[in-house]
Amino acid sequence: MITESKIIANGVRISYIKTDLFKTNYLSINFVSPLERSSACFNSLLPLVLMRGTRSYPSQREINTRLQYLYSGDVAARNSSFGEYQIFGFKANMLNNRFAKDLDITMETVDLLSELAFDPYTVDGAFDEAYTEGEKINLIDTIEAEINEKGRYAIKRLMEEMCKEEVFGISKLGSVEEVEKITNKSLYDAYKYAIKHYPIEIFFVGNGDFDKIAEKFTQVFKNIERAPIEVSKVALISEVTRIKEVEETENVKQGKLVLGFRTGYKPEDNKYHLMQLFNEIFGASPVAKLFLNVREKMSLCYYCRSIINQRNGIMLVSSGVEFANKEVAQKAILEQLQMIKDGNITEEELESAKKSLKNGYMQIYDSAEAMEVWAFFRRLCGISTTPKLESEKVKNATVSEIKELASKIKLDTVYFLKGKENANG
Amino acid sequence: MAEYKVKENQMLGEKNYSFKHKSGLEVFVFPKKMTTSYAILATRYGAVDNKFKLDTDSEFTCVPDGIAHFLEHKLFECEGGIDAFELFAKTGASANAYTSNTMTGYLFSCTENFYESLEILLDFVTHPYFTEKTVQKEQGIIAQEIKMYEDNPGARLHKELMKALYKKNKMRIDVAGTVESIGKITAEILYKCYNTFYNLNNMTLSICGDVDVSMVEQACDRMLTEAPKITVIRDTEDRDEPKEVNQKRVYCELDVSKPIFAIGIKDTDIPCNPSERMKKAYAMEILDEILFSQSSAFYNELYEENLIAQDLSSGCELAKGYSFNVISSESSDPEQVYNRFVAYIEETKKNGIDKTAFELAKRTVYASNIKSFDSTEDIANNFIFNHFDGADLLDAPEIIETIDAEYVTGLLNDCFKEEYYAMSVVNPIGE
Repeated sequence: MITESKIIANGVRISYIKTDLFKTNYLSINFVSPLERSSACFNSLLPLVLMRGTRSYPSQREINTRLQYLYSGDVAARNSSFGEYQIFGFKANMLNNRFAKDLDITMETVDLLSELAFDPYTVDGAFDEAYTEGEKINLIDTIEAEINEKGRYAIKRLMEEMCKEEVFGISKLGSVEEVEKITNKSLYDAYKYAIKHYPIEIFFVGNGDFDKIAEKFTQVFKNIERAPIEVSKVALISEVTRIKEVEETENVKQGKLVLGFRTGYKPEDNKYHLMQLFNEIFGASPVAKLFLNVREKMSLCYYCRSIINQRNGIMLVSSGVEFANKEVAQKAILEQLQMIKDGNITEEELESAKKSLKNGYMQIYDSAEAMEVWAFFRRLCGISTTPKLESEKVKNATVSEIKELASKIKLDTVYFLKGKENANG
Repeated sequence: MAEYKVKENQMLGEKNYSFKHKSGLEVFVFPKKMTTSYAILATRYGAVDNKFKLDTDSEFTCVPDGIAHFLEHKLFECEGGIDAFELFAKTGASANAYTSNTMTGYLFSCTENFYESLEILLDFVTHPYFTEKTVQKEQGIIAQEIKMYEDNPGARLHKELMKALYKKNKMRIDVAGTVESIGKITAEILYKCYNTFYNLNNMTLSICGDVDVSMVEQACDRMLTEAPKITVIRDTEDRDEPKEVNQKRVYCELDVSKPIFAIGIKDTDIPCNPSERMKKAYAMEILDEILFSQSSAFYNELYEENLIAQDLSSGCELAKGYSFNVISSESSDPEQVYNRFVAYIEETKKNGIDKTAFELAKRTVYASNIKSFDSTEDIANNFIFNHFDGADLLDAPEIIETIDAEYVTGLLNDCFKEEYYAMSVVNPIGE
């Protein structure tokens, strides 16, 4: 999928995915950090503070006016966790040069993004104190607002409970207490650490002068001292000694049930396509067992779906149900899993799942960001493959392979968010 | 074979072929060499259509709120207990549907077997099958969907805002209805609505992808029969809407960390000409960009004072039946934001709109319109929305080009008046 990659400085790589399909180009600058409690809050705060000002555009307003001038180059801060990694930085979607008169949108936006990441506005050798303090408040607000979306909140809580011994339960936002402790100095130190030590991945997707863009970043890194760290891979837990049950109450009208499973899957097995195929059959589509049975036949919920994390193999099943139906729903979900474990998959189900999965794979080619995420995250797993290759592999998958894979899946944690007393409506 | 009309926008490098199928269905095809092809079959029928009659009927029929959405769910169930999703599963397409206030659309996206999937789409939407038993089952599922949205702050904020803005306009009706209203739905009422609004003369098929228009026509030939000509009269007493807002403030309480607000600006001056409506909608977008984007004084001042969150969103919704602007964010003090908003608008009116700010905002709106042509899904959906409103998506770049600072200044002076403002606030529980 990647057309070309260059190492332009120690631990800094720029990659090009060439495509003529779009009216836009896509660029991202990513710092790859280990996901750790001590650094997560700094990593999540940094892009926010960096977006407040650069050397040439010292205020947010000036940056955004510049972006309007560059034909609304949408720049967004990025902060995501992927297994043991935390990835933060910036991404931008910019209009192709051919739609502008006398303006090299691509190179001008590359310059701006580069400045956002590597040449921030500083006062006496640190960030502007007001920017840091302002963004701390905003970040704390964001963390506190996680409760607003109950479905997502329930998933976050499940991961915290299930992965107490692992890094996967660590919030990529950090906690309120940790953010409060950040000072302008400690944040700037974290920034200096990041540009020196974290591996950096830059992606350009679209059609442009890649050599020129690579050269631009090569020049940037001439002035940055680099000593990259290696993000160590963590061991995955595949055994469950005791099923954990957690119940909490909030002011909600609908209960949120999340089941966390360990699948025993490891990225190096190179069998993610089988995991995804299993997931299609189990709970990822409108003809999956969960949808057809728990929703359509039993009428228990509006949604009941499963997702599997590609990096750590943790599977989550989430659903919104009446408080009183929690046990029935949980039992129904586990029954559907048992069906697959027993090899109870029809030829039709298998074929549908294969087709649906292939459809999903091939759609990746229609989105610049989807292609970037595919290439980037698989690179982090040490895998090099394309959606086309994966859909080829899926063709030959058999029921016995799925059954074998399902047999290793174990329920680890059950999380239920219910309403306060007498709130059941 | 029907005669295909061609419409092209050379600047964009996009075009569509269209024809009226002999069944009555209008068809539009945007050929585009992307991997994903997308089709949506939609009817001009949404949550607002709760009172209607045929020209041959003497009385209007009133139906329970939420029925268009209910019908959307139920159409997926075919005779013999087969689900349309199962049929799409055989071709590998990913299917879905949505209902808005004014339309219902059934769609799929796929990377192969397009014409087979298209046949399934045309088939299941034209073959309803409802029984009392299947209706009851759906009541359980949709009740859970309604409850999910009741817990959702964004959905509640919008729903309450519509009630604040409008006294009569049916935008007040929640698309999903209420647990109570959907309880009144029966198979008989579903058939009545279906036969009234799912007449092919009232429907449009919009397609974008690596697709051939004559093959689409052949699929229509195979699957569709001529629809009877009927004349539906929709109740329009809700159009008689006062200019002023219904309620200045509406509040509700949910389990949120901080208050969330939406300031609505009601506009009853809706141009009759569809091109004029489109022009006004884009001009309103430009004005919103000038006034409230991250480049604006308003945003930056309030943001620096931590009065609003990072994502202050602003947007305008304009079609023949409704027009309003919404400015929304999170704030510890929505009242103060409201007061600042009012003062800011008055100040901007006094000082006038800055020429450079106008040019940059116009450039932004021009660019985001072009960006929307990078997805087959967006093209087909945006096309149908505009088409149902009488406008043509391919005219957008040129219409944006005609907008000048004077026009936008006119909107600022005419639409932004205090009697047209209302605010919806979702407060944390017990505060």
